[in-house]
Amino acid sequence: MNLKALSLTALFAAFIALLGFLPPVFVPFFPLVPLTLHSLGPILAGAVLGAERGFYAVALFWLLLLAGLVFAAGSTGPAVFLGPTGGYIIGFGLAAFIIGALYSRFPPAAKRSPFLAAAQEFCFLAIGSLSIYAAGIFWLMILTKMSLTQAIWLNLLFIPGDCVKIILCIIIRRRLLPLLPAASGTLR
Amino acid sequence: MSRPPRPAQPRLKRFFAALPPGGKLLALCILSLITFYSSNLWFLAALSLAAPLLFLLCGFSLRDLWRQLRLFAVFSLCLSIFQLFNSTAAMAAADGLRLFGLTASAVFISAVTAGSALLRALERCLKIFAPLGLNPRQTALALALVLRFLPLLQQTYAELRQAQKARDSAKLRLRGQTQLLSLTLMRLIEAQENIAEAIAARGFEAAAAPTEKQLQKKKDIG
Repeated sequence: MNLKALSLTALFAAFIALLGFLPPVFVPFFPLVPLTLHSLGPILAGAVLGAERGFYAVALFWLLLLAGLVFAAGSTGPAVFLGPTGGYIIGFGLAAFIIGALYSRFPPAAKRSPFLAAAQEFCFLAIGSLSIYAAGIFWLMILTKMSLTQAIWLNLLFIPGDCVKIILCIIIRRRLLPLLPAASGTLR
Repeated sequence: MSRPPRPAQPRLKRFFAALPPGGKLLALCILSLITFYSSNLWFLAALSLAAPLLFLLCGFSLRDLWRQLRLFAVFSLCLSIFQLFNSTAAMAAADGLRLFGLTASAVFISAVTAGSALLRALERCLKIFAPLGLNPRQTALALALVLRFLPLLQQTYAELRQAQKARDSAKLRLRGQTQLLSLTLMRLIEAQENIAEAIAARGFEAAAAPTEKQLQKKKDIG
């Protein structure tokens, strides 16, 4: 990885951390896991940086979180990984990798049909977001001994918010793309 | 002018702070494994009491303790109440205590270990993955860069938000939030290029440092 790509990856790791500083909103019927803008960071990192660098950005964020230097869901340190939000935080890396891989394997052709390209991007990001849910649900089931059905029902509360984050991610990615070739010679 | 003397730290805090951070992380991992497989209420209750007690004995105030643990205490209570409807009272108590005990222990370790020391320990741990292609030197630089970008991002976000509020007094809506986040990233993408160039100018290469064999080969060619 060259220096520019490395510093761009570090910037996205810092962006993921910045989103963690924004205050979480607690859902009344499911106070265990708060609603935050946080998952926007990893899906954007995957969409912009690609699979490996996106994952690397999330891994950097994990290290800082473990060291207690940044926040996630209002808390920090190793406790975050052991708490109910731990699965979602691990899922961030999975999401960044899957989204990056999907973007590089099936690049959306915005010039041919902008609507189709946006729909395609929405699908990629939704698949990535689902991987966050999968990791989160798995961890919740282990930690709280919830059944799969219960955990899935509770997670349905986050879907409208995640749809909004996906739309935000598509818009931000399109605005950033023209800047990226200058920032890193290897990125699209 | 002489500096006022720093208050002496309690012996227990000095003891825990002096322990190697890697060892503390390892101990936490082992504790979490034991806790996950244990449903013994006495053990879980003892752990839930011991961690906050150690926190207090290390010189932290009750207020500090409450500030650090209130979120996890509420989480654990909610979890116990939720589990009460799904299983027995003992199981519900065990689930709540397990979560609280573990998170309290993790919070205690964070409190008695400096962030920089923990980061250095993590960097040392990363050396294990060097044969798999992970470059610890590069990771250390990336971590330093993240710490450099974080206040810059916060500052840029706050400035832009202030400017947006001044222009449009209405509440920050989705469109405004999109603009705000894009603009913050756009500004920082330009700034990070300059930072990367400055690092390169100081002779730092992001790629792995050349081995002696490679250097010798270079010399021979030269």
